[in-house]
Amino acid sequence: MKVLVAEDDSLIQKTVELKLKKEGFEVICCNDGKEALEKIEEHMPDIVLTDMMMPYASGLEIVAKVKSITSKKIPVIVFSTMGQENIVEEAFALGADDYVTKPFSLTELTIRIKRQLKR
Amino acid sequence: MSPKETFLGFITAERLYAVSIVFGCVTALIVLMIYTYLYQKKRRFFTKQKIAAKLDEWIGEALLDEEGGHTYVTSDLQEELQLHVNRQFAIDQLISTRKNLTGRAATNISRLYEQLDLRDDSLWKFHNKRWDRKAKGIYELYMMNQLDMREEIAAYTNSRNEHIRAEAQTALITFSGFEGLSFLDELAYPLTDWQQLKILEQLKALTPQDIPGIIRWIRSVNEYVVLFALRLAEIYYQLQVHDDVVHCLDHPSDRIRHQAIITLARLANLSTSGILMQHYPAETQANKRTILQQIFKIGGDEELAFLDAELNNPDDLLKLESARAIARNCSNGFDVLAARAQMQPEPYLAIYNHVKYELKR
Amino acid sequence: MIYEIALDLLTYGIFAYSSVLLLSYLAIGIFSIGETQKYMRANDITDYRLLVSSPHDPSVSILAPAYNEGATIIENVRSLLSLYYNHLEVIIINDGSKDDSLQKLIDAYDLEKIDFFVRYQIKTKEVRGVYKSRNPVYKKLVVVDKVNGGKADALNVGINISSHDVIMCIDVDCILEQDSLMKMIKPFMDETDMKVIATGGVVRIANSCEIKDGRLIKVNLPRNYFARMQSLEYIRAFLLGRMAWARLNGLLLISGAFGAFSKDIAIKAGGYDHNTVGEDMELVVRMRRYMEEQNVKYKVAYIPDPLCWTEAPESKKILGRQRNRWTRGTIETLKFHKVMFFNPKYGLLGMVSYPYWFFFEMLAPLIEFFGMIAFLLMVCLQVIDWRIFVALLVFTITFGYMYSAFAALMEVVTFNQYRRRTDMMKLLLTALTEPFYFHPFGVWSAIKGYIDLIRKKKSWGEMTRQGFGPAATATAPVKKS
Repeated sequence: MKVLVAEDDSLIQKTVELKLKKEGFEVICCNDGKEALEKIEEHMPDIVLTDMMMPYASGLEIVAKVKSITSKKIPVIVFSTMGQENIVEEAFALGADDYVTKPFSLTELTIRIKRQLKR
Repeated sequence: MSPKETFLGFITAERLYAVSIVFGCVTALIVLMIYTYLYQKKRRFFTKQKIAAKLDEWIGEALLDEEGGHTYVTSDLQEELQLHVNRQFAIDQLISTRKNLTGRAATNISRLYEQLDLRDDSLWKFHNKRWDRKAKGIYELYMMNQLDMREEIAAYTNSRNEHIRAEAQTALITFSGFEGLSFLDELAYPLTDWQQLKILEQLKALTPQDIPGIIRWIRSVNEYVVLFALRLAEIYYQLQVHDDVVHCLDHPSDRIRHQAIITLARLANLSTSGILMQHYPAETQANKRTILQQIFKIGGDEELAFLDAELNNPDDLLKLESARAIARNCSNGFDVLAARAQMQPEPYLAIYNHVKYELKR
Repeated sequence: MIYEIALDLLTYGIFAYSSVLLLSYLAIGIFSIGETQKYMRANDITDYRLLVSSPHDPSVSILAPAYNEGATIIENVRSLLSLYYNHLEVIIINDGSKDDSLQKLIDAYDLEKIDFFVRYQIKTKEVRGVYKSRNPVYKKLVVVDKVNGGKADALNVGINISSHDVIMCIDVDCILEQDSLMKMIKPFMDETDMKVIATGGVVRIANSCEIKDGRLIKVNLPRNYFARMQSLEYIRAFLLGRMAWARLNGLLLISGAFGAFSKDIAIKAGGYDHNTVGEDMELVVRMRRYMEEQNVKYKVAYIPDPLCWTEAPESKKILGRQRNRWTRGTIETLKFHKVMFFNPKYGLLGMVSYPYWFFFEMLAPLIEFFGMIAFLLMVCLQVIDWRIFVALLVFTITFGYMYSAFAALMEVVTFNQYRRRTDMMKLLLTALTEPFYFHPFGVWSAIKGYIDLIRKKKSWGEMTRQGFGPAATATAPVKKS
């Protein structure tokens, strides 16, 4: 299973990557919105995790982009900061499937990913 | 010698050239400094890149460690960590992770911090005389949950330097939650909006509860403390200070009255609208607007007469706010506005349409 | 006899003037160091991201007037919408553009005309319509269509439409850094007994930089001579000059391309004045004057962080027009507020800032110009002491070089944007030509400004834009109507 992770903080990205690899996922990492938009097209992951605040493209654009892909149904989980409910709302309006508020637990994240992929 | 001759004698070509040469040398020196600085900066950048990738990988692995025992530090990593700049990088990364992850990874963060002796760096900063270092030291210590430093840091919550003060205050909140707010009792300095925001963010993670000190703070002589207490009352629904909030509606400060209006609306009971309408005539334009905005949230049919009268207010902004409140709260609100619009299209038709669009979306 | 006295006065006068000017440059240099250092240290321990996740952030409206910006408007609006900030409204004011700017926006952002009650708190030209997007992704965007009235009028319309507390006035084709809002708004949250009425920021030159989709990807030193000289000029002005003035709380000028204001005070002061071509400076001066007259302690803050990038004129003609306009704007502003000149009622503003601006910014080109004429006269009359003259010239030029080098050093040790050593060296080499070409050109444009003002020319002049295409080259500028 391919997971695309779009997160500009290098250590968070690394930790999530390591955890997901341990769980048996193939992980594609992106450092900013621009890279994410390109790599989604290129790799067609099975699920996308994206931060809402990144350089070059907002998380909302990424959600919109993923949901515009008709050839494959890709669930999207967004990372948001506590208190940014309105941004999460907007993400859901665009079709996001789940969200995780920072600070989050890696175990919880993994469970949510697996749940989304089961569908 | 006349002043003119003394003056002209002073300015000689030789002297001018001498000073020009000095200028020239200083310029050359500065150019050299620029060149060297950029070179060093580039070198530092590449060294940092190298270590960053390495550290991220290592820290990442360490954070995922299930056993929670002593993590093995490779000898070459230990060597890298001898450099101050690398240790600072490690601290910054750990702090950033602390903001983003909870659970097992989070507990491992503090363990790593202590194990790698990064705590010593923070302590050095904390004990340093320079204000920015001290403040940064405090910041690192509370982000890394070094609870044993609580007492020492508490001494600085009333410090003269605003940055040290702010960090110390935030530290206490991080360590002790709502109890950490006790510094408000003694605070002799302002509490800026920024600092209030920081404190509120720290408190966000905690379960709301009754805040015992709030009764003292809302009556404080320090206006900033009063303002903050009102904010706390609003956010944490502190009904116990309801009467004090009403009292604040008469406070000389515009800002305090502004917040009091908002807080009162939050703690609303049946008498609230009446109280707000009572204070309305004497208020500033800005606060009148606030009152109308709060009535929008909590009002009902009883306010119709008052709001209808306010539709005549010369200030267009207040007309609009009244219209909003009427439309939302009064049972035949839209009819009232439509009738107005018919009678006097300028400006009520535009107001009616605007409110219709806003509320019926 | 009279002739001798006149000559003496001229010499002493010019000498006194130059000495004060030189000393003020030194003072500016020194003051700016301390102030910048303070900011950088405080910056290090500030987590601006808190402003984005908190519901307690001040509400901000970005006001961007647009006139015939069709070439780049879609990208620019998109980059504005992705700025990191919570309570944000982006208001684009279409100032009666003759091109298809409005239609482009409507199409790209799925806009519909809505019912909006416009409160004319400040008198403006008529608003033709207010537009919002049907798409929730773009809910922060508001587009206002109005009858053409000029930049000041457009900004006033923005102020009237805005429902937030802080307004940020920018040029729509400016590129803003993602955290620029957070940094510009923080001073408003830091205020204690002194009310912060405005914050100014640093504008850097974007020419020859790589820009894609309205975002800055790579910083390059401008290739064009004029743009490059302006780069240095901006560094001197923004990093040294304004920083020092901010320290004294005497800052008179906030760039029209990038500034944040308390909406409330802006309205109380009367909004932008459309009778001047220097409306950005005029508003700041008027807001300050208002606060002085109200006897309320206030402050104009300033952020030395480079957060805004703009395209600078590359042709002599357009640059000349710009400097012409700036001169006229300065004269008009100082004229409107001449009551403050050395008036103690206005505190530092009246006793230091205004006089300084009057003598060393407004009169400077005139004094230089007449100095040149006097010099030529003296040559003809053969009263010139060539030795002293040449020595003075060398003295002034080396001082200028030293000051520019110092500015470059400040740039490098603070918010360094030109990281390559070759870039910096190129910049400094180009600076060698300044006293011989760029500076006299500036003085000449300023003189033309005086002449034009006397002839009462009130227009902005046509400003052709080149557009932020991919790595904009010096060829094919996009012509606008």
